[in-house]
Amino acid sequence: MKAFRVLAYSRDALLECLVDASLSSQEDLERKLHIRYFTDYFSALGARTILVESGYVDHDYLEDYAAYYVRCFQRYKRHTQRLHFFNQPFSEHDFHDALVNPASAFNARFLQDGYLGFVVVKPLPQTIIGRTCLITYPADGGRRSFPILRDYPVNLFGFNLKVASLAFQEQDTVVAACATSALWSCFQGTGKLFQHAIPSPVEITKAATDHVPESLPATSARALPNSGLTATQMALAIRNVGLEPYILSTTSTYILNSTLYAYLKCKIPPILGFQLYDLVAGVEHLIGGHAVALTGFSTGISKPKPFGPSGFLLRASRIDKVYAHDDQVGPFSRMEHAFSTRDYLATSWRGKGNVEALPLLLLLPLYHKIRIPFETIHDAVLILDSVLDPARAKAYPTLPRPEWDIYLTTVNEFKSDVLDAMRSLLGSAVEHSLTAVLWRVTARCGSDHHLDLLFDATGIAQHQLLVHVVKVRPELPALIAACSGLVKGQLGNRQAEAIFAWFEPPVSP
Amino acid sequence: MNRHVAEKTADRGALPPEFFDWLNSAAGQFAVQSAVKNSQSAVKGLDDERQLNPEQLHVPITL
Repeated sequence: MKAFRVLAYSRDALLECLVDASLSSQEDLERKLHIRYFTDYFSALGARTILVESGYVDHDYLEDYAAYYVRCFQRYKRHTQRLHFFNQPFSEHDFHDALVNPASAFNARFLQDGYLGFVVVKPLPQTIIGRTCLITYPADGGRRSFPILRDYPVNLFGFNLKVASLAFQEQDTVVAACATSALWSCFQGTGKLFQHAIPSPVEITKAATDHVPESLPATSARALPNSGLTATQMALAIRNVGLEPYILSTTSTYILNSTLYAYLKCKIPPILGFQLYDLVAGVEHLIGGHAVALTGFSTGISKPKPFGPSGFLLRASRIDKVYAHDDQVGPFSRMEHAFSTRDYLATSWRGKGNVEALPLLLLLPLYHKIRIPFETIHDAVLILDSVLDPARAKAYPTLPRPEWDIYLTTVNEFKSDVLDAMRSLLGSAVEHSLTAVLWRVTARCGSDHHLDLLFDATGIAQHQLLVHVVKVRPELPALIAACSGLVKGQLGNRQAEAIFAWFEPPVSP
Repeated sequence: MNRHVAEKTADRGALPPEFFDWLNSAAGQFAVQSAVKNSQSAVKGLDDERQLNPEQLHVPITL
């Protein structure tokens, strides 16, 4: 078998490559959502060429192979094929020339400039999409955001390439169900961020199934072949890599958007668990429970949506879509908020009617020192904003209501951001000694940056977490100071009290 | 007076004097106290919504 071959990209060429590298037929593949998804995705990315790397040894598939497939009577191959995609046209001759001729204009730089990423194809029947690292949709002027991307090095016959992505793979329904695939993608991000080993799908499934599920027989008690996990089992798999699972209900769109935004900004991919319903002629049919790794979001709503009786404005409320590694659809697949009478997400799943995803829970794998959850800071800021609003309307009637941006960050990210984007505004902030992980709260009135509050994310909730304040403009600090005496001891929230106390004017002698 | 306290003193000067008249009036105090109550009720509602029930934890995720 040739080590590589090069094809002009087309849907048919892609199908041919997938059939050739797997035990699937074209008819089987045509029924998969992945084919429709990849066709649309590569079309959007402008794919022109496929380079097929034969005999590729994929670590994750090899682990699954050693744990399961090697013991089957049927002989499955242990090597995969890796498909590389480029947005430039070139031929097999061009690539061969580049390998033997160092002076060729067709070189590593040319390849890197047009590189869109790769898809590993597993030599299995039906479930064949292995480790997949593809570039994302363009940012569209900042509307789309994929904070969790990391560089994956790719050695292509000696050419050192890289792709900024988060790895995706389809469940094989044997060593991994959707929950395992979601966890595997999630660990691709947290492994880099928190320096833990990234387990293969079979290792994740084995760790999760140390605990027999509560819901027998809906979920099989067997570890392998695996038919699915519960949230409790997924939490166990997170513990197994040395992280702490943090889980909350996300039946409300506001809670879902605000929480996923706050953690994704710190490169932590949350796992969204939801139930899929097929709505046919107004009647709901449950398809089942599903889990995906959230990888990005779109802030496509031009103004924040007011929340609660006070009309609190949170930047995360601008989210109209989230992007997810849905192992049954594809990487960075879009899930769009319906904003109708029901809080559901529209997905690429196909049913007899309209398929709706109803969020159930969000599961976050956190480094053990991130002890303060998002809601502790969010709730304090909501109370702060509520108190300030009538005062702002009276003192500064023309000042727009602040829009609050609340997210987790690291001290290094914060200081780099200060230097990169806001040197003139916040320069002194870089000189302060701060804790490694922070909750950052930024208040903007209109387009003006007014205030930054930094909270210790590693501290004790019963103690003051506010560790640093950056006053960019005087209005909001003045309002907080003015109201501090009136609300002292009445807020019923330790962190909201601490914010007012920070700004409280000194008692005159 | 340290730098932090000096900043605090300067903050107050940015507001117009009429504002303090309003803030210290019954109307001002009522507005602020109502805002506190509203926000506490919003926080309580959010807290309830974030709580998982046992069925959510045991839903089989199998697709």
